[in-house]
Amino acid sequence: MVEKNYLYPIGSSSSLSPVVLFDSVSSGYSGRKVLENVSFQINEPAIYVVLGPNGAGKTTLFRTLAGILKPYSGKVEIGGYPSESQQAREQLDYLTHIDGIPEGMSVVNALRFYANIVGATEADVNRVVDLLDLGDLSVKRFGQLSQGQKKRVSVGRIFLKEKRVYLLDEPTSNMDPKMASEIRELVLRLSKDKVILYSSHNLFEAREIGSKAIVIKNGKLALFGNISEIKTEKYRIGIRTLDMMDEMPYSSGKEGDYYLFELQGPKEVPGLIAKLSEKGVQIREVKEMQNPLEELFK
Amino acid sequence: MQNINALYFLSPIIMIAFSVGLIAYWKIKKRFTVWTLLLSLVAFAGAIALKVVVQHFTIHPFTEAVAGNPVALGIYVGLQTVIFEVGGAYLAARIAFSHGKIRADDAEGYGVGLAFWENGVLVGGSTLLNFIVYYVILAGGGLAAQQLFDTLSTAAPILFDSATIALPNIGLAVLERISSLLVHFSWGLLCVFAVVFKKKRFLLAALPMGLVDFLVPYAGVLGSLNFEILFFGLCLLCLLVTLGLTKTERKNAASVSLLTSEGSMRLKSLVQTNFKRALSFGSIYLILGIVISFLTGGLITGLASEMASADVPLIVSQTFPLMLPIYAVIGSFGGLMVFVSDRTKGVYEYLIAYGVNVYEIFWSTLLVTLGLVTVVLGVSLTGNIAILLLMGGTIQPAMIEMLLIYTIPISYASVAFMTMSGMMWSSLTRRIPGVNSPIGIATLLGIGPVLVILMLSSFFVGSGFLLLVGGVTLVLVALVAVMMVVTNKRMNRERLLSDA
Repeated sequence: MVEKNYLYPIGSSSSLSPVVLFDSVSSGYSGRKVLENVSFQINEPAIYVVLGPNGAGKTTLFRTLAGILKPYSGKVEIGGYPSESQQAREQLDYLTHIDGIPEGMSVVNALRFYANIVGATEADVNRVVDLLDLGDLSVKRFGQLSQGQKKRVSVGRIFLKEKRVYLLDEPTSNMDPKMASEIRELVLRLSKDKVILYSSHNLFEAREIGSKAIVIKNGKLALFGNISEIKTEKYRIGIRTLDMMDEMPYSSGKEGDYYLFELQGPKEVPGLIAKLSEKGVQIREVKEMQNPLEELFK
Repeated sequence: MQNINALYFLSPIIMIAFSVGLIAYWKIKKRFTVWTLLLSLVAFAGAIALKVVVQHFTIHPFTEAVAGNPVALGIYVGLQTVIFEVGGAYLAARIAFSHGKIRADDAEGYGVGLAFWENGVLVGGSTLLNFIVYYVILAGGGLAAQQLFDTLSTAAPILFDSATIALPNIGLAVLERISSLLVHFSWGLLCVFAVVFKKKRFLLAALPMGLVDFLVPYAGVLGSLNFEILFFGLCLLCLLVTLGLTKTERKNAASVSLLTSEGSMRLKSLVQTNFKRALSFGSIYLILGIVISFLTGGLITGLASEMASADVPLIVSQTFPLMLPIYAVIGSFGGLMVFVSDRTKGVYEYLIAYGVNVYEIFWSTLLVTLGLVTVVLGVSLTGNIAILLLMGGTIQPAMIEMLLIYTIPISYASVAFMTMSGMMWSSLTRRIPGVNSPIGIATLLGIGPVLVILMLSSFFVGSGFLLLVGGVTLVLVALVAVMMVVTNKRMNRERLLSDA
C-alpha cells in the first residue's frame, strides 16, 4: 500500500471552506503524540470509513475533530471554523464507543438530557424513540439494559438534531448482527447530504457502508482515497463439526479443530453452510479465523 | 399672576417622545425585548438609588471638606457615575447573561433602555409632571399659587421668560438629553459586549465614560451654552469610540447570540437536571445530614434543659448553629458524586463535543452543590426552629446573629471549597478503584475549615470571632475563585475524558 501523507481532496470543492480540514495535525494525550502530521480535507458529503488497527489513533482522530483534544500542531476546521469553536461544534455530532449516558437516568430522560444540550425538542426525542424502536425501553433505567439495547440508546443521540458532520466511532460494536445491520441502514439514510466519518475495525463492514476510506497506521495517514483501493485477502472462516471427518468438501486445510474455508466475503457464508449441510456435514460452530483488517496492516 | 411659559412643556415632551420613539424604532427595526427594558430599569434604578443613599450621607461633609472645590466635586460626582451607573450596568448585564436573559444583539437595546429610563422617565417624566403641577396651581390662583410663584421666581426665574429666551433654553435642554442618550447607549452596549464576548477592554472603555459627569460642577462656571456643547462633544466622542471598538462584534452579534443563548440554556439545563440527580444520588448523605442536625438539635436542647439554667435559650441558640456547617458538608455530597459518575461514564466527552466547556461543567456542579447546601440548611433550620418553638422556646437574637455571621457563610464557603477541590482532584488524577476517591478526600477538605474555626473559637471571642469566620470564609472563597479561574484558563478538556 502506498503511504499518502499529504492533502488529498476528494471530489471538487463546492464552497470556499472544506467541510472538514485536517492540516498537518499532531495530537495526543498529556503531551504524548498519537497522531503525527496527519493531513486530509473533505469537501463532499459521503461516508468516510476510518480504518486502522487497535491503537492506530482512530479515536484520537475523532476526539481531535470533535474539539475534545487540542492539537499540538496543525489546524483542524469544521466548515471553516476552528474545531474548538462553538460554531464548529454546532455543525457536528459525535458518537464514541463509550455510552456516555448519565448514571441513574431512564432511557427517555437520558435522551431529553442530551436534547436539551444540543437544542432539540421533545418532539425530536419522541421521533428518536420511534426511529430506534425504544418505546418499550423508554422508562427503563439505562443500567438495566442489555449491551445491545444500551448501544441503541447511545446511537439514538445522533438522530436528535440534524448536523452537517457526524463522527461515529465504532457505532456497531457490541451489537448483534441484526441490530448492527439496522444501525448501518440508519447511518446510510443519514448520509445523503452529510459528511460521516465512521470508524470500524472490520473491513467488510467498511465496504458495506462506505465508499471512501481514511486509513490510519501508527498515528500516520496511510491512505485517503476510495475504499476500493484497499486490497483484501481472502475472507477465511473456520468450521467445527460434531464429528471428525476424513475429508471436508471445499476446505483449504485445518487449523486445530477447525476446517478452514476461503471465501470472498461474509455474504458467501450462508451458501457454504447450505452446501455443507446438503453433503451431511453437521456443523457445531462457525467463526472468523482472522481479522482481515489486521492482515491488511501486516 | 404670571404662569410659566407653556413652551417649556416642549422640553420634557420632546425628551419623552424621543426616548419612546427610539425604543419603538429598535423594537421594529432591530431588537428590543421586555427583558432588556426590565434589566436596564434594574441597572439604572439600582444605580440612582445607590447614588441617592451615598450622596445623602456624604454630599454635605464632602463639600465642606473640599471647600466647594469644583475639581474635587467633579471627581466625587464622576466616580459615582463610573461605579454605580457603568459598573452597575455591567454587573446587571453579567448576571442576566449568566441566566440566559441577554444576548449580544441585545447590547444596543440595553443602551437605549438605560437612556430611556434616564431621559424619558427620570428627567423627562418628572420634569413634565412638575411643569403640569406648576401650571395647574399657578392657573388656579390663590395662596398656594402665590407661594409657588414666589418660590419659582427665585429658584427658576427662566420658567417665566418670553419665547425668545425660552426657546434657546429648551434647545439646550434637549441637546443635553441627546448627549445623555449617546453616552448611556455607549456604555450600555460596551457592558453587554464585555460580558458576551468576555473582553475586558470593552469594560475598560466603558468605565471612564461615567466621568462625563465630572463636568456637572462646572455648569455654572462655563455657562449653559459652553457647557452643553462641551458635554455633547464628549458624549459624541464616547459614541464614536464605542462604535469603532465594537465594529467587528456588532457584525457578529446576531450569529453569536444564537450560540450564547444556547450556551446559557445548556448551563441552566445542566444545573436543573443534575440537581435532581444529585438529590437522588446523594439522598443517603442528604438524609444523614438532615437527621443528624435534628438529633444534635434535640440533644443540645435536652442537655441544656437538664442544666435548668436561665441561660438555656442562649446555650441552644449559640451551640446548635455551630454544628450545622458540618451537616451541610455531609448533605451536599450528591453534587460531587454526580460529577465523578459523569466523568467516569464518559458523559463529559459528549458534553464537550456538543460545545459545553469545562468551565460550564465545573460551574454547574458548584451551583448544584450550593443548592444542596440550601436544602440541608433550609430543612434543618426550619425543622429545628419549629421544634424549639413547639417546646416553648424562643428564637434568640444570638441564634440569628450566629446563623448570619457563621453558619450560612461558612457552610456555603466550605461546601464550595470541598466541591471545587473534589472536582479538580477527580480531573487531575487517574481513577484507581478504591483508592482514588475524591469524595473521601474532599470531605476532609470541607469539614476541615469548620473544625479549625471551632477549635480556634475560644481564642476569638466577640468581634474576634467575626473576624475569624470572615477571614476563613474569604480565604475559602478566594481559593474557590482561583481554582475556577485555573479551570477556565488551564484545564485541558482531555482531563474530563473517561479513564475507560
